[in-house]
Amino acid sequence: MAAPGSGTQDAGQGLRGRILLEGTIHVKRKTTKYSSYTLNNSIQEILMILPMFIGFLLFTAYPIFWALRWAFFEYDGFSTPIFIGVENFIRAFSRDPTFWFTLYNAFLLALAKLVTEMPIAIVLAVLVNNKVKGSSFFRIIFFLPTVFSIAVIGLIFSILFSAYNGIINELLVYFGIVEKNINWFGERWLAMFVVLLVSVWSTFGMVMIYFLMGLQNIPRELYECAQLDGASGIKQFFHITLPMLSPVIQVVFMISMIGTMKMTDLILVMTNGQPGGGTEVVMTYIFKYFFQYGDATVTPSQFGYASSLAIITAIFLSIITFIFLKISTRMKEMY
Amino acid sequence: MKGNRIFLMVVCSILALALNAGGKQEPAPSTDKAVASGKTEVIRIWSNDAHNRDEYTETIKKFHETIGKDKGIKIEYTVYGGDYYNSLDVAIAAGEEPHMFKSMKTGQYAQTGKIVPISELPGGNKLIEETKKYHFEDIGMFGGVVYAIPIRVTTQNMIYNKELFARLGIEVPVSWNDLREAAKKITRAGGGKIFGFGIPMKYTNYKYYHVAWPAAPSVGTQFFNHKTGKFDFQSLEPFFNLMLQLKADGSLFPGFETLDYDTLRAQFAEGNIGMYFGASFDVGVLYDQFPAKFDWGVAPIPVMDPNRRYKQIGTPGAFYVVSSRVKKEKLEEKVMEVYKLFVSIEHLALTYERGKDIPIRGEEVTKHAGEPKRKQWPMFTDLKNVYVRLAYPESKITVEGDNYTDMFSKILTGMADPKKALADLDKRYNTALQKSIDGGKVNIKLYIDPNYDENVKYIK
Repeated sequence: MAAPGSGTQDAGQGLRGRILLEGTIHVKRKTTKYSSYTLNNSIQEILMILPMFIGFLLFTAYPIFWALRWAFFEYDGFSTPIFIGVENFIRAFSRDPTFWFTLYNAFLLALAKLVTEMPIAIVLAVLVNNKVKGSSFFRIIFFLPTVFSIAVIGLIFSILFSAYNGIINELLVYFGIVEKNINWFGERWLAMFVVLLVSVWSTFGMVMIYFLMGLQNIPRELYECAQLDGASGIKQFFHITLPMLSPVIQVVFMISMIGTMKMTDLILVMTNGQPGGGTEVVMTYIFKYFFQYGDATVTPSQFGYASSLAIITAIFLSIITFIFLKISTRMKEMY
Repeated sequence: MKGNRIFLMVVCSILALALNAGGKQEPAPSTDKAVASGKTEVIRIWSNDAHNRDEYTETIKKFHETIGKDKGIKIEYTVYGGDYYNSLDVAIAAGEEPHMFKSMKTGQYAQTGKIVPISELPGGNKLIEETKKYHFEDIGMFGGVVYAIPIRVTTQNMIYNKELFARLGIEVPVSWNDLREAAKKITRAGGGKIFGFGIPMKYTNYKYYHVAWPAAPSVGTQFFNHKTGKFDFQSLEPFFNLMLQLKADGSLFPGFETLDYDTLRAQFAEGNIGMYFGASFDVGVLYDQFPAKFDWGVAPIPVMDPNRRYKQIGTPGAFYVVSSRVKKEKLEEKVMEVYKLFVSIEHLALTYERGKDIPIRGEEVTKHAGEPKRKQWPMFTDLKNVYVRLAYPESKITVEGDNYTDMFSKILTGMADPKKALADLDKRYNTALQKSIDGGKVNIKLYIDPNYDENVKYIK
């Protein structure tokens, strides 16, 4: 016989059991729904990343492994590759002073570009950031060179700086600044100057936009406080604007430095390394080992050697980036 | 589960597409083959010869109306621009090359089986026999096997502004001294607008057309000596000195360091350059592309010592090779019909009388041609004092350091001393050559002309 109240207890237990069971079922259902939601989400994420990832594999990872492989071979793209170990690297380090010269040239250009482009871009960004009439117009004007093709820019500037009937020379002679035309591409430093000028002209708009974005993130209150404290415009620039922009400056410095070190098209269009290889930069030098061009060109390509040069350059760029990031850590932590 | 299945399907499709795109493809059968159920075949031909496109199109049109119609052959002739050889390399690597194409890398393509010997095509041996005098190693021939029948020869001369010379009372220069003086006079009279001489250093082949070959009538060799079988860059030293003198005199057209050939010819056509070392293809350019605004003349290239002159250099050119895909597609017969058309007397005579190409077979062709209308043309087509050069073994050697193109630029821009730079080139190039000879890559006998002295002797 059952104890008094046991029926109720049983009933209560049964009810509790049912509630528990239903609860479990409910939780289970919820979990299933939740995991299916998560799974769907993950599939979506993977699908969205996939095209980029495949692109990365095909156009970045594969070429890197391709270059890594052939760097140890003597290979012209046609005949049977011959494994030569680290001979290509030995050649680059011990018997190819031109390679190091072109690397130095690229570094020099990158440095000169940083020194000239950064101040111009910051000053212009500050000026066009002011909400005055016409600032939008100037933003567009300054940004405009960025959208032109480098080939077109190179061609136009070659004509402008032409030693014969070039507009720049005509103007200089007209205003009596020089007596006779300057052969801009006939002397290394002059040619480098023109390349630098064109390179700065073609990219300062983009750098200005980066700084403009940085400027727009600086809270207005800081300037208002500074004004209340009686800080002048210049003081505000050096004590608020520049420090607050420092993380952006760090990134832009790095992008600009690496971008200029990898300059290829502008040199090929404007000087093709002339005069006498004086404006050759590392990427055009490597390019010419990879691709031989011209009607009567029968010299075989040197894929193996070019690959080893590309690897050395990549390592060099990584070292520069690492050193720069180390040195500039404080810039990121400034504010 | 459904989501997983879709995900897998998408991944598989993308991977299949990617692999298909990256993988090596077998050449696709020609479209017409499928469409016209084997009756008409499309033979694809690539070239980079823009100067004679009209004549080739005309010949092809006639062919379509006659033999092409009878034998079911349709020619698809495409002329590419500046980056032709790189585009061709990419097409070959992908197995997408045309059936016939103009080639400069015969050796490399032959070595890897990308092209077929002419002898393996129907009637090929007969064609080789007919043209046997013109087969040279590395120029249409590789390892003694003929892969292309030479079509034309490009010759050189000095092109000058006849009206300007007459106005200034200048005689056509015969010696380098005359050339220097004439250039000085023109420059002086030009008042900063007209210059005596032009050299286009941005032109990839200036090293040949504007340095090595114009030097040959004076020094008797190019930069490779076909008598000794060695590189001889030092023989070019007097020529470089002449160019440096012209530069020092201010007689060179300004900006020559980055001047390309088209700009030079355009400036000459405008009357801003007195003279330059030109090639036979310039006749067409100065009539059609940049019509000269004055009467211009052609004269032999001035030499260092007029009493000691050698023949000028002629370069064999226009080598059409046949892709090995022709065999796979069983198109040998039809391709050979097209090949015969390209080397036919009738077609070559047409390009000759229009002032476009000089047939390497000389009189054998020209006697069938009409009188050329362009008066400067005969100066280029007279092959009596032209030495049709052999190839240089440069495609079979790997040279370390600056190549000769870079070194020539350094000399001409004053960044290197001619004597030292040329000696250094000789040393490095001959070391590389010896390495290739020792390694069995170069058979030097094929680059030596046993009768060199006799063959380069100037005929008065």
